[in-house]
Amino acid sequence: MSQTIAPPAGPSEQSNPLRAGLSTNRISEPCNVIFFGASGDLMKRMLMPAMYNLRLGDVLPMNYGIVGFSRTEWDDDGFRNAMKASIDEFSRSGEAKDPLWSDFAKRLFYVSGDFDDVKCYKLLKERLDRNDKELGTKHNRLFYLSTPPGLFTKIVDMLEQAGLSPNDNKEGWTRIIVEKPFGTDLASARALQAEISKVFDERLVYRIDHYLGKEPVQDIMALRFANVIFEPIWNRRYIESVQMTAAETVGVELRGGYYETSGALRDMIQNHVMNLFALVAMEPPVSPDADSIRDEKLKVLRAVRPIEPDDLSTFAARGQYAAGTINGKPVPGYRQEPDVNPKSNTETFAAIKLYVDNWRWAGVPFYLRSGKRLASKISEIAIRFKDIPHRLFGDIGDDIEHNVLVMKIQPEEGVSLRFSAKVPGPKMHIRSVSMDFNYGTGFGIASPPAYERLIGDAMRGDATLFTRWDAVEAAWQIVTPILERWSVLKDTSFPNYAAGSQGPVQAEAILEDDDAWRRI
Amino acid sequence: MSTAAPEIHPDEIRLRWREARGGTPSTATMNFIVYVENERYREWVLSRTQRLADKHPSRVIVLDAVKGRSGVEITTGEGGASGGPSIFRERVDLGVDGIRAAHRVQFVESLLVKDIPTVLFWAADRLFESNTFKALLPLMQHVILDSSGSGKEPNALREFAGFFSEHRAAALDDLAWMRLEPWRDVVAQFFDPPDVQGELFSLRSIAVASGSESEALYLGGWLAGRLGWTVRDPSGFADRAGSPIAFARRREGEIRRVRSVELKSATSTYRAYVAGEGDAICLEVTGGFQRAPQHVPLQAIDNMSLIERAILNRHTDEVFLDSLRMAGALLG
Repeated sequence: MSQTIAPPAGPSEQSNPLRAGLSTNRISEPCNVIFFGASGDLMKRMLMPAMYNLRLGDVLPMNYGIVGFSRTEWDDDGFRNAMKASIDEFSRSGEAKDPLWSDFAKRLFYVSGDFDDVKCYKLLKERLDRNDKELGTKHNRLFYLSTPPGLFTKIVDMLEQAGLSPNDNKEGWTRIIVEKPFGTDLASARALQAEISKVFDERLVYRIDHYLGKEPVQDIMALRFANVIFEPIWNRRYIESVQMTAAETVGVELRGGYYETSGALRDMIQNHVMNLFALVAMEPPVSPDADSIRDEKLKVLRAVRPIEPDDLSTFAARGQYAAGTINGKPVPGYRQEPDVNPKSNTETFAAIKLYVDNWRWAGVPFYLRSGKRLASKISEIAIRFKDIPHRLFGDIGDDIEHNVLVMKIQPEEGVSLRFSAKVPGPKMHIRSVSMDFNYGTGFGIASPPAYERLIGDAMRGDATLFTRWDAVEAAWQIVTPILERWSVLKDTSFPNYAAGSQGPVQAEAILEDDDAWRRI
Repeated sequence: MSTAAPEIHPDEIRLRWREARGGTPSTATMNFIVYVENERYREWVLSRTQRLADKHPSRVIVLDAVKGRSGVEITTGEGGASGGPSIFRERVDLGVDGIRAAHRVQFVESLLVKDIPTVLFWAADRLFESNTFKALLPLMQHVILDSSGSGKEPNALREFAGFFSEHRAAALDDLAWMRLEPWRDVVAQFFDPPDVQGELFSLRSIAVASGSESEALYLGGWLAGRLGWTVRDPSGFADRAGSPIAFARRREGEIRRVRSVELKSATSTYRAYVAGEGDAICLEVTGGFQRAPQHVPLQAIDNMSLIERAILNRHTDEVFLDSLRMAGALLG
């Protein structure tokens, strides 16, 4: 008797003796991934190319479905054609080709509808139920909110009304990825969280910060916890200050409209740079699992000393770029950019100083800065160690500089350490030397783009690189008093730094006496 | 008989590297020792060696055993891929034709950076009969070679299997085995569903079409090792119950590449074959467990990336050693 069986679910069947020693990366659980905002720019440039590359990398499960949802009036074939064009244009693997594309396209589906029309969500449910039967996707669902943030709560509410909530799905899992920004301040973030948490338990919510999907960020963990020599000196006894820099040479380009409502503090510091800060300052987690790491990050964010409004000028600085030159080419000032108010008070540079009131870090300033149109594109973390306790070498010893450990994130990825060494010869000359380590580049399997890594992690249920609500809330608690004060007090010095410079001189005011900003 | 020693003392090489570096500290992730003896692929090996070292900063020692090669070339200075960070190069190419194995090895040993791994990429056909290989082995944490596509195939694999049944100190990787991972994965996929797994124990024949011998031998050896078969003769195995399983290998397509794998059980035929432009594998099942054809990606991983993977691999894969042993048994 002949029987037709569903394709295998994946490599999870441990009893298969042929699986021994195979280091497959494939996600074992079948599922549907549903993209809201499927006709948008993010879908076209990032998300669909990421899904296709996950397929090419043999990372997707054998049984999967991808469903797009948006207002654009496409049918399945219209969606497939549009996605083929976006893969051809934006995928790092180039043009999609048969037979792999044909197999992939058969698993793409589309539901057209209004985000506030429950009937459209019921159509979506019908499609997912059919996929479970026909594709073997086993009732597992990952919703991805790639719409404007204003639609997040509406979509979540509609999912519940249409019977697509986790509570309605007893046979599989239901997860949701929420794009950033998660709120625009503490109050709006709490309001958004209140709505999402009515339908999705926290362990099912994956707040994406694509910066955390970048490999160098994960290198911080390796440097700290795969070496024995750093952790004993990673504290107030040996470290004088820490600087974290995320500098860009680009301006706001075509995002002027968005940036006017955001600014550097919201756009970069509250999420990306704050995450770096937490990774550097946290205690060693007891295990590499998501919650162990996120628990430690939360503890350190909660230990940050609140910034009092009256102290703002010594704890936070802001700037806005004027016209200048980048790489020898003239560039306009922020107020001359498209969709920007000519009298805008939005900051394109922000720097803050944080103190962590705990046993490890008491009294150590952490300087966080980020800005656009700065002298160079550089992301790094610099740990400046304390001065030597005793000048053994007398006058010569005056030249001895502080040790500095730099974790380079981009454009170069690596580590450098400045230390003192004697110059060969009869006299006691001591010089600072820099020991640099970079991995090279140029061939081999590149690190996957952040979205590929993060979507794959969410499908696997690994939340390590996603931000938990309590950490989002703690980060907003740190920056919201600054945002509120800045929204009231307009900065009359704007624009206060030239494009292509080191940033505004006002940033000097937040430094402690012995500290200086590192050159960008 | 070769008796000469290298014309240059390693101290002089170290001094020249140090002078060229100036105040720049040296960083190295490994000692990378490369042995090449065939003119035909010498240029390929040397250029890939440099590219690997430019990504994974290394102290590189090339033993160039191609006939007529002698003398020393010392490389220093900045290198690295365009657009990437610069890497300080420390490399010496020693022409070793006419130099005794003991001298070759002394030369290598005196230039090794202590406390980092030492990796040997053996780009030569000879293995067991090479005194240099045997003498170098105690210095190595890791040996990488490619048993496939060489002119002496399948002797290289037989020799290799025999040698490593005796020597297990260094981690070992064969690029020919590593290339098979996608094929092992698709064959395993056939038998992932629990209701199909019983089929593994009623297989009656295996047929592999490949451009060179190692791939087919490894696949046969792998199945035998995993399923507890014994070798009856070069064309077959016996399963645990003693039933015969025919093993056919056919030369087809490019060297180092598999074209198809077919397994027949009492009820079904499981077939995986290259499709599209060589970037996909089609999986088909006919018979009792019939299922619709499905395509999966076939990763085209170049040799240099395979060598890199091998370098990053810290331990020898026991499944590999088992498969190697069975492949050796097939060859007698």
